[in-house]
Amino acid sequence: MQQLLDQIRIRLMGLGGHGIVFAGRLLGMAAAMSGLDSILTITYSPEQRGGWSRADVIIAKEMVDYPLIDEADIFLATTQQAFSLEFKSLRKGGVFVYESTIYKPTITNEKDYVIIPVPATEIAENVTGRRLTMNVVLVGVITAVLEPLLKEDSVINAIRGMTRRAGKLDASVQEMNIKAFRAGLDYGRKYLQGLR
Amino acid sequence: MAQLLPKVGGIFVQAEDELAAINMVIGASVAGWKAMTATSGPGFSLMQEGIGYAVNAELPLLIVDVQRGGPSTGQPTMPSQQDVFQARYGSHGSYEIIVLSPGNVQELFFLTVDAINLSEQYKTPVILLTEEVTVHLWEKIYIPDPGEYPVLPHYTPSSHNGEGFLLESQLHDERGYNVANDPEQSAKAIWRLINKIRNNIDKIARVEIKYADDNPRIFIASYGCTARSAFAAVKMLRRDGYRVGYLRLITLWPFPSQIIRSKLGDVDTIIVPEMNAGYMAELFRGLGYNVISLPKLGGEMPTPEEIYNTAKGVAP
Repeated sequence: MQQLLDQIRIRLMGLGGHGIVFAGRLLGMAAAMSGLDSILTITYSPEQRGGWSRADVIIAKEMVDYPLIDEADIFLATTQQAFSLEFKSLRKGGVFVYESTIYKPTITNEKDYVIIPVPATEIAENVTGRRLTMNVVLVGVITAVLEPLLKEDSVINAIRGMTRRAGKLDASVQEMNIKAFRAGLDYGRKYLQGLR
Repeated sequence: MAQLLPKVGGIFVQAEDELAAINMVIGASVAGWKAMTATSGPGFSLMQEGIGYAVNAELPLLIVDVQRGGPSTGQPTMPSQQDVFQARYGSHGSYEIIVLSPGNVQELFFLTVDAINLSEQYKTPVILLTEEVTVHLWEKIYIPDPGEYPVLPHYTPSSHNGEGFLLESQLHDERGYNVANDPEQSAKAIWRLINKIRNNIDKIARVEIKYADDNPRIFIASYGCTARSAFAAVKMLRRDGYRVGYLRLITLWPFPSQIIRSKLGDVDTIIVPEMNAGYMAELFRGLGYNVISLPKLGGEMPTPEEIYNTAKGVAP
């Protein structure tokens, strides 16, 4: 799909704590590190606990001018709430990715979209023993959608370069994320193969 | 800043309010430090008296105003460009000030350095006027190595007979002595402050012009985050065969009138999208152009499509 577009607009949304912003940073960093331009905007709901968070990433071969997303090419929703709020922003023909162990969305015109259900929490637990790597599994699935524009190695480099406030993430956390990412990538590749 | 400044020998202070913040920055500047503070609309209003003080006492410092929608507490976390005139004339009395408007995250970096350099060069406070959209963006930037980008040393007033110096917020002569009761000397003091900016507009002010090679008679002129939408709109218009040029104000104040006049030539119409009630459009109108103002209030950036549709209606 990506060859047809000047830029790819990705909207990631879920519950605060699902690692949505981290996922957005990973995708944006991976794109930036592989010579593409990328831009990330983060939005939160006003609740202090239990609200949604959203990360909008634009990836492009040329510099991104208008930084916001009015319409998404790829939409990831890890919760029913995120799905209900923002599914409408996905364009016709766009890719919808959702976390299938958390909820089952009801979509009226299924044929208008490429829909990828991902049991990301389950995959995360099986592969890393930690449910919280679910977001990185989903980054893997989205990378599969974006290949070959976004490459596996770029995301792995981004995972290694990822920092948090206190500095770099521990090597063990990095390795766990890489495992989760590879599992998601593998799942995504196979799923897309099945659609062809 | 709180985490990074101490690592490079800087000091970060969390002030109790914006009045304290601007006055701490003033004090730091006098005491030999390069100093800056950052705030949003209401805080910027509170800082205005201090800004005037720094203008009159000729202290180099930087104030960053990340504009939100207003007036009053207005729209926290929503972007706007409604402080362009507060930045220019927010403090009382006649004065001129330098205000820069970064268009993206890379420019936030470089224009911050430029702003501090200008403040040191002209011994005056400088304002970096940006918007919520720009400062909350994550994008690719290049950070130069130390020494790669010019950085001016900090200016501190020379001492008076080896015993410190006079710092006077009333009008004063070049020695620092109060001349507030002397009309002639007072006028001279105000004009000197004004003219050090006005007489150097060509050196201070910068605009970015693109898509001008085929002398388009229509330009879209903007600044800050809105210029991103304007640029996307010009690209779309060019793709569809419309001759439309692009102008971006990097320096809002002093307003670069001469530069715009000399570079635009035979332009008929200028379309000015901005996130306020059409303030900068008036400045372009003052230059004698036919101006289409595209004001947008409410906290959303104008989209490229909105600008495109307006331009398409008038473009040849």
